[in-house]
Amino acid sequence: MRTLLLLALASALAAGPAFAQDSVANASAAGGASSEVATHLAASGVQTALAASVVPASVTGTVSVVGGAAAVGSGVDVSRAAGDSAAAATGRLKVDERVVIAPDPAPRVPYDVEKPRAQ
Amino acid sequence: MTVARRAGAFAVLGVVAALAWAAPAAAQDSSAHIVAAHFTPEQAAAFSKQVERDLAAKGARVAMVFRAGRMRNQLPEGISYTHGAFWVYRTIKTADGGSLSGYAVYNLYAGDGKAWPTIESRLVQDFPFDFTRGSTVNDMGVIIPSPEMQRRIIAVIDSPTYQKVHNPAYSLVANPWSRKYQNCNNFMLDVMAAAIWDTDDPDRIAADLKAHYKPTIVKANAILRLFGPIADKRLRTDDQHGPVRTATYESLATFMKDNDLLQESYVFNYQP
Repeated sequence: MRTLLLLALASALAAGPAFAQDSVANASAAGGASSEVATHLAASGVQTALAASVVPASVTGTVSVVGGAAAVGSGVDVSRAAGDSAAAATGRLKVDERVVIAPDPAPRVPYDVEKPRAQ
Repeated sequence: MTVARRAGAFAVLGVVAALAWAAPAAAQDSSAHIVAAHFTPEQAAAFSKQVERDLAAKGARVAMVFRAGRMRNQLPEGISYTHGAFWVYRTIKTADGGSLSGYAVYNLYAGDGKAWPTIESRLVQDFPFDFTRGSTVNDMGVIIPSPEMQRRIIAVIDSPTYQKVHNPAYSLVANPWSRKYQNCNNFMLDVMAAAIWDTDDPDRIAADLKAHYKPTIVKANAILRLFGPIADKRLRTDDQHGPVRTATYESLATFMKDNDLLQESYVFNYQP
């Protein structure tokens, strides 16, 4: 019984990551760096644009896209931002036909590397 | 081994196998940099642009969009999507010095275990193409808040409140009534709550949500709770007291409709 239980738990441990991810396997034809994706799409006739930054609707604070991740910088309070944003009109909006590609992500440096030992 | 003990062993095996393969509690799954095999890059690009055009035609400056990162038959009953994020209409500066209009996507992503731990989340802004590449089905769920809520949500996203309501401690089935863990949908709910009640106080948000928001109940049994953390570290349920509660597309849409915060919610299908 105990052996069976351990075996079952080991199976769960081994299988866990497989179901835990949203199809982790990078199985798309162009699943690597953004530059590769952009090249692949361009070869297929898809217009692309490489993003540099995103400008919020409110006046203050820009979101810089760095390595695919964004850092939000803003000093505006909610009520004031709401007022700024309220100026935005509703109605049909225009969307550019180009597909926006995020910049290449930062190199994957393992987060759990051991600290160097003190000498 | 007696018949009874053998039967017990098979029962345990069955439970653990279900844990491992049926993804019973994967109500949310917001892993970073997910690329599914379902769409080719060209199809993902087309699908993402279709959703953008649809939102733009409806005048949506912000929408809550949801994707399924696994097949529907692997999802818990009553839950259709595994990841949600804000799509915000923006001016996007391009690397060649130009600018264009479109949607930027504001996500809470859990770590992939390589760049950062799986039980920790970060706020990451990317684009509709990145979002769509993680889909394993031909549809997305869309919630368009009322115009007033759109203005309020954008104001929160553009303020320090956006960071303040983020809790990096991640659980796949985080309880929205508790502050202990957060997942992508709970984060969107907290941003929305900050907008509704005009507060950046996480304690007040949790209290208000407990009074007014009815989470989705994820069907799970005691053994799942017992063994879940072994099978997947992100499946943390010690913030749950009673049934496992979490935020989903379904319960978010219901909450917004019931409180007149909704313009519309619908399922958008890929058009090949």
